[in-house]
Amino acid sequence: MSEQDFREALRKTMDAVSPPPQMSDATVLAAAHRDRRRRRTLWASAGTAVVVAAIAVGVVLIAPSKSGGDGVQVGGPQPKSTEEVPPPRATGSATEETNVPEESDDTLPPGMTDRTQQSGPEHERGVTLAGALDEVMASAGYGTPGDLKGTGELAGAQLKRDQANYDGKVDGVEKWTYTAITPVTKGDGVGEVFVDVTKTSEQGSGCDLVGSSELGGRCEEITVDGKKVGFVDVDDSIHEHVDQFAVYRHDDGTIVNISQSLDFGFTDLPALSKLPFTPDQLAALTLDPRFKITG
Amino acid sequence: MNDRDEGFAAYFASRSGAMRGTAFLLCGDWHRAEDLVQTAFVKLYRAWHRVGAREKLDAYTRQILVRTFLDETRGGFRHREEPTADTADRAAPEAAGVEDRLVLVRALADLPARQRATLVLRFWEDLSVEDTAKALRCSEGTVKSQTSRGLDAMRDLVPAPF
Repeated sequence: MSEQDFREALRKTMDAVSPPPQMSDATVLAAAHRDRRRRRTLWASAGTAVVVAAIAVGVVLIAPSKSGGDGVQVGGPQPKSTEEVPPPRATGSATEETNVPEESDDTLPPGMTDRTQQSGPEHERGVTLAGALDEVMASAGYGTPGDLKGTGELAGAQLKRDQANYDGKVDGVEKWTYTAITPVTKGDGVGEVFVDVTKTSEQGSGCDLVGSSELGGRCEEITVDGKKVGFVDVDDSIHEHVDQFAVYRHDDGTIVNISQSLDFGFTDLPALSKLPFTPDQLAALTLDPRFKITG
Repeated sequence: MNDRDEGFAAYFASRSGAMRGTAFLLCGDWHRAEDLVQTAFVKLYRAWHRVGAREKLDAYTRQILVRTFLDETRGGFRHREEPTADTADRAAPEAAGVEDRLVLVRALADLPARQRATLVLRFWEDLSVEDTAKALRCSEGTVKSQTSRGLDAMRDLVPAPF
């Protein structure tokens, strides 16, 4: 069978086979709306950074499943049971061979009623991170308004956030993830940049830190001062409001992930005309000492 | 209905039929094809305001469709159903000869998912090697080798002449 034979055979086949009645646009639109509401709820409860950090460091969500507890990898199309899984824990490694659950204890530290510290040293680290992000964006010529409220599905929500999230104890040591999210403005456009910092005992560098990115986006290693940084241009269909991210692991296990987007997800605010940073600049930022806030 | 929904619904009405045909060749089954199309369009909706030029919509939607198909086969969602031209909703009998023509669809269903996707994109969607590589996120060399292997396999599976 030649290529042309095969081409013609396909056409004959499809001409002969009768398709079902046309699909309903109302049904698909309703499904699209449900999907959007679910994703917005996830953002609102866990923060974009937590979701994308999961992609960046190849998190396996250790969630009980009907089939017996297989991990579900974030970074590709969401499985239908996404809303049932708990928030992700960063492991710092993408490979199946090294992604072994650490010995962990999820008991909250004394005085905490949820995973987010509202005051104290960890909270202050989140605030420091937010300050560092503001400095970086100001140097790049972008505003970082603290009073900007969302529109659309995030109507009234404060877009600028920082938090220190308790991930549990691993091998007896408390693990925290610090996140700072800011709207970034230039002209009439509003984009989004966030930085996410955690510490892990897992090894790996560059694209080792990025999960299976075939559907989330292809990872490219960028070398900055001789150090390997993983950079991903994200597939829009998977994470519509993260355009690119870069991730770097310091020698002491601190992982810095920085993401940027042309627009601020789930709002109808006008987008930036271009991303704040080039891939090389974004990669270089992950090594910025101002973001290395872990003790 | 807002502008986004109107634009999206109009695009769906105009292109979902063609996308469903491609999905049928990938899945071998109309029900799975419709599930795949719905999933792909839901993902398209997420990025609707970011897609930009409308002439890129088809390429973008096709990419989502194929990658979702590949992901579902990797995730174990693939199940072997007998390719059928009929659906539960249809009352009218199919024309004679449909079973013969499904030989090709059945043969496609026997191929590994990436080979199948390559052949469908190259010879049903008529994409170039370059555009097929972009849709599948692989090299042009891989597209050529998958095409060659896929056609060899089809020659073994489908009785000649076709």
